Amino acid sequence: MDYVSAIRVLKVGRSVAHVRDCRPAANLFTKLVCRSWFDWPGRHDRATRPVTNLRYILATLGILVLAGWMMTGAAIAVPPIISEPHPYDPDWPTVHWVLSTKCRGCHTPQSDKERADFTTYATLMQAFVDGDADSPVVRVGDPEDSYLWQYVSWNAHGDPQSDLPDMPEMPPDQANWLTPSQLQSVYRWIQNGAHQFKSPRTCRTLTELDFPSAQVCAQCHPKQFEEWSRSMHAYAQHSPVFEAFNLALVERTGGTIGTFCTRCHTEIGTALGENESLRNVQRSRLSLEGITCVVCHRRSTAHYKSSGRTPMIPGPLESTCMFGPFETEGSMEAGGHPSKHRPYIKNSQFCGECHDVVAPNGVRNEEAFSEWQQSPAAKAGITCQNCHMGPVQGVAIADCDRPLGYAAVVPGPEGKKLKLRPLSDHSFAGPDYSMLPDTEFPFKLDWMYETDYRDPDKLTPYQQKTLRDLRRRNRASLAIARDKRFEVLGNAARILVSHPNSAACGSRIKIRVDVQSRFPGHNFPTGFMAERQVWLGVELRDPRGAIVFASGDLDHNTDLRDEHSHEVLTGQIGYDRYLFNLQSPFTGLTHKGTERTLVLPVNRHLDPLNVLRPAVEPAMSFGRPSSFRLAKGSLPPLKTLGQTYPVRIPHIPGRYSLNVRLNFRNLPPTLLDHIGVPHLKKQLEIVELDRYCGEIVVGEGTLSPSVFMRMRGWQGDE
Amino acid sequence: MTSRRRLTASIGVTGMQARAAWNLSVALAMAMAMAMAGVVHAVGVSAESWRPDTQSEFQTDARTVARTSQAKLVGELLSRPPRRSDPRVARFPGVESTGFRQEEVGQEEVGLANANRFSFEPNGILANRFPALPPDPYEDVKAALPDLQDELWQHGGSYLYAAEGDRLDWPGHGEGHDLLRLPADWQAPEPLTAFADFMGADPIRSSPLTWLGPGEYNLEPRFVGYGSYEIFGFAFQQSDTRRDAIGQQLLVDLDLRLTGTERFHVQFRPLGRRNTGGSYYQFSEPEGYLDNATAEPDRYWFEGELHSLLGWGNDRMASRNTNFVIGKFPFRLHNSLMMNDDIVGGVIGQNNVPFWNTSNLNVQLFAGINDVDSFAFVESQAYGAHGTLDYRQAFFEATYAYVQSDFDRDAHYAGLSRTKFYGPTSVAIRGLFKWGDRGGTGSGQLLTVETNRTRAFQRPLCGVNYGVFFCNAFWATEGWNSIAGGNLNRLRTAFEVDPLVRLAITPAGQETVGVALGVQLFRNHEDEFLVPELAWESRGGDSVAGAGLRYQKKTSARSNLEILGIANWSENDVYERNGIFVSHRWLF
Repeated sequence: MDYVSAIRVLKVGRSVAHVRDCRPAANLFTKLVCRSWFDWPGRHDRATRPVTNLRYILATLGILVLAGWMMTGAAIAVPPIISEPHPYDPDWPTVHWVLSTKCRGCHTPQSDKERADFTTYATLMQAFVDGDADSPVVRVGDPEDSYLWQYVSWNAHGDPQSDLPDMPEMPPDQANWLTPSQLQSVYRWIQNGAHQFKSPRTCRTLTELDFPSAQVCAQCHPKQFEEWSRSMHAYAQHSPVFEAFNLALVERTGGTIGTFCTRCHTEIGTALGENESLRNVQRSRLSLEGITCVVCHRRSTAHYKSSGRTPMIPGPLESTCMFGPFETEGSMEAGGHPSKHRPYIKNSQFCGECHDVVAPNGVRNEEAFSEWQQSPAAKAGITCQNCHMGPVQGVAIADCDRPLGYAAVVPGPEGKKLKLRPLSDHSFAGPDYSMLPDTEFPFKLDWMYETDYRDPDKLTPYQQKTLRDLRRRNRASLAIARDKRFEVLGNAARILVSHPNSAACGSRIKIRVDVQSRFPGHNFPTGFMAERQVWLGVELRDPRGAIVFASGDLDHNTDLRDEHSHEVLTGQIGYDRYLFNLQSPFTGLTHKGTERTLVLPVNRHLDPLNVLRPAVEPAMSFGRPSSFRLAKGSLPPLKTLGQTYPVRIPHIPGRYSLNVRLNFRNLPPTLLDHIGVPHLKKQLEIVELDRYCGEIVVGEGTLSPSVFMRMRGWQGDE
Repeated sequence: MTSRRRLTASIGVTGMQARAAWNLSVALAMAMAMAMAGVVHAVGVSAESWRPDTQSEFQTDARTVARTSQAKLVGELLSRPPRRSDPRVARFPGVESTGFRQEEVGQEEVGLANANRFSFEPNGILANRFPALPPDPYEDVKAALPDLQDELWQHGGSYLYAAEGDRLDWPGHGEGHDLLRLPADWQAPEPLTAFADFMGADPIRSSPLTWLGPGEYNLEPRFVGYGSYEIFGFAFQQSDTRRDAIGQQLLVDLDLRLTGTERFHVQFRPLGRRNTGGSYYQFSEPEGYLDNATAEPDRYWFEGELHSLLGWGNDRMASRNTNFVIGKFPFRLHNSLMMNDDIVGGVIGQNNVPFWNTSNLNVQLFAGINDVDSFAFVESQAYGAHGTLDYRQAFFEATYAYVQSDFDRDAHYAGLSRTKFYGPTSVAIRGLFKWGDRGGTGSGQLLTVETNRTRAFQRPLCGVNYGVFFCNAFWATEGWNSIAGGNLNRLRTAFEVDPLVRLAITPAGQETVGVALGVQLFRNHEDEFLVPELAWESRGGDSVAGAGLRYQKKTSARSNLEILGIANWSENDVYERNGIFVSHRWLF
């Protein structure tokens, strides 16, 4: 492909800079190696001469390779000579964005013969209003006389002096009206000759034009877009917690972690050249779409467990194939893009390409797919898509049972050619949720990128109204996402509690709580299991309401009383001896052979540097590298784990209340402290997955059954 | 670990004083170590060598940028002159006029009448100066919205206009929670790569090559060359033998990744073969350059996963998650106490084996067909099985190994370890057993208890946020020796005061008991640490007491300084050791 060669040019340019930086080091290396091998007085006798000769040969080869590498890089890094004229209009990307996200849904070739076709640059330039050759949509050099401008222009500033209309003819949706900057781009683009952005062949790089936005897909696939938009796939790069976590790890590793995290969270952004240190506010809008439509639907190769290193096919929507699960391929007559059946997209392996994250140093950070491989679900043929893309999140559904519907909504008579198909749900509900304000997720408005919306008094009525509508829409969407999240969490596990119904004062009783997994497909929790907390909150209160026994309670930072609680570490409170927690914390080998759990996945006990490089040991074959692992404590599929709580009953007779909760929290507060976003701790939710309430009747001495019944009856009367 | 409380203000000293005090304490400790070692060559740690706290600089920068950008936005809005307005007719049904009058505007702006037909300038508009939209007939029935300012406050502000959100001066932010950030334009130097960047910002390119089987997983080759270079100097005296030297060590790793699970790896140690630690020049007798250079690769292996390699498609009965490695590779068992050696052979293992209620059972079968450096014979073979298991926050390791040697020294080994976390305390208990070895030392065993406890300081002294205290104790019988300790760096381990390390390298020889205790103190965001340590052991009745010191500091994003000091005292001169080891290492 063209872009491959171009990328090579850019890469070589970068490597030259690297070589220049490394030259002093290379010289030092050469000196030291040569002196140690050849010049230093040592044991050079007849027996070692062949070895010495071999060293000479190897060293010479090494020097030649090094020199060749440096010289080759320097030669290629010469700026490319542009030998052919090429149109370059910096406004075209904005115009393209506007047309594809706001117009293209209706202005397709097949939608309506009365509507102009905006699918491609060529069709746009050949489009006329009502077929009249004197009424071009774009009259090059004259925006005032171009229907495109006349239709979309409006008084976006709310300028009283302006004689522009207060509302545009197009687009019909008020939220999509063009912003001042977009209007400026359209106007200037037409005025400057309406050129297409086209980079020279010698410098072909990937741009945002190569990947259609999800908003483009939304125009024909509104159901899928709506579901996806509130999913954690859409939120992946938006997440302020992820952003902070990634940036903290970048600092901890001296930048060597590179795009390991962002490769999955914003595959398009990484492909476009956005590095790991870039803040979200500096990323492109397409990058912030996270795991957007094309990340899954433009993959034609299979990569198994590749930690997100999967290629996407770049290209314009109208000419690049989209891959899907349907055996009957969509026809170009009814839609706007070629499509192809790809059965692999329905396999768990497809999900496992990202949902099995092994760091280059061999740490198994996430292994949802590996767990599935050994699970009862895999043996029963249940895939990730069966459970996580069905109408009920977390409950398997066969493909034949999926609800039927139209995969696309195509305007015009061609839309009738669509076939009914079993539809998948694209909500991808998981344990995470948006921590952004309701103005910024799932949807945003274009004008918000140009005008600070935080002071409503300075907004135009249009902006105020669309902001209100946006917030309502976002809140409604987030409410659905929350219901879906509770749905999948509610299907995760349940608790079984056993305890004596009666006890004597001063006696010692045992309360047994078992947690039973209801997931057949993977451990619970899974995914980012180092930070997921699933714990039992057990609380026994005496008749006065005083706590007799508690486990799973929180410190003042709302952390569990475990080894990551600052109050526990400073000795202010004791640790929770009976804590039942299914978290799988990062664990590092310490200087003296013992292990210690860590909040961040960096081990500074052996080394103050954490430079990430491929493991120098076969870590995967041993399940872990020697100095780091996850202390996996998650609950295996359909298995049961429990905890026995010994409780000494005080000398207070009466009715004791027992409350047992199975709690879930997606992130611990101490993590947010460590990565520098303590202000988000307020957003952390504890979800109660299951609950048990019981009573223990306590009397003086040993209670006979009759006394016990009498006490209960007496207390019942009370 | 980030500090949770402001460090120095609460104890009444400034940051500079704390730093100076820390410097002084390190220098004193160093001086003590050197005095113990009888070193003439002074190694000073000057106050200038402490690098400034770059994290706080970044933190300041980030906040400054955030505040500046926010202030700039607000400033732009406020500095814009108000627009002239006049009655307008809105084109909405039912609304005739917005009723704007020119008198309502506070100031006139000259020249606006000749302004362009439309303006693309940013909004420079005051409140309530716009044509109104028609009222929304459904406004009342729509759900009530929380106040926008409250919404922003609850979520840490907007994330559209400031990096990582504007935070709205959230209370407590910046008071003890340091931002660990690199600048946004930070470009980490890459290692030598081919076919694809290593963790770079580039598109993934698919290869037409695939593995076998119906799955036909695609390859994505990536070559990475990296390693480290180290210079070191040491002064060491054992009994009456004195060795002073300076030297160097180079590690070069070449890694060719084919997929996410398959890769070739080769490691060269051009300046110091195997476990020699490097080549060095000795000032004392025997004088001269000890050349340990070699061009032979020290390790080479291929590892992969069978399912990826062979496909097997969606066969439900197919074995999955099965990893293997063949070649010459490092092999460690029970925290290197049972074995730490490079062996030639293979391992096949499976992770996440479903077994009872365990969370993570990993099983490996291994065969070291050559190069097992056992104490009986350097070309021994070892066969066995090893398993690790996570269950209820406890980690179990179990091993059986059969070591085949010449001279009637075949031996069986078995080991069981259990590591359990009790809140901030971690306890590891190991029982390692050996039997057979009729031609050698016979049966033996090693029992160890290794513990650590983490303690954070409410009022950190000299910037030390927390320390990890440790205490290890062991008992080894006369016949105990590990399977092989060939991979432990001989040079560096000479400066280890912990007698357990010696037991991993050499046979016990005599009944030995010992204990080591100390603390690892962290400061400066764990960019440096200091480990003072005390140890005592009894070897066949001879008591040996020791003190050790280890100091490491990150000197740049890719380099670190390490200082080791040791002093042993015993009535038996053979066990007397004093020394100091200083090294600086660069990673590339």
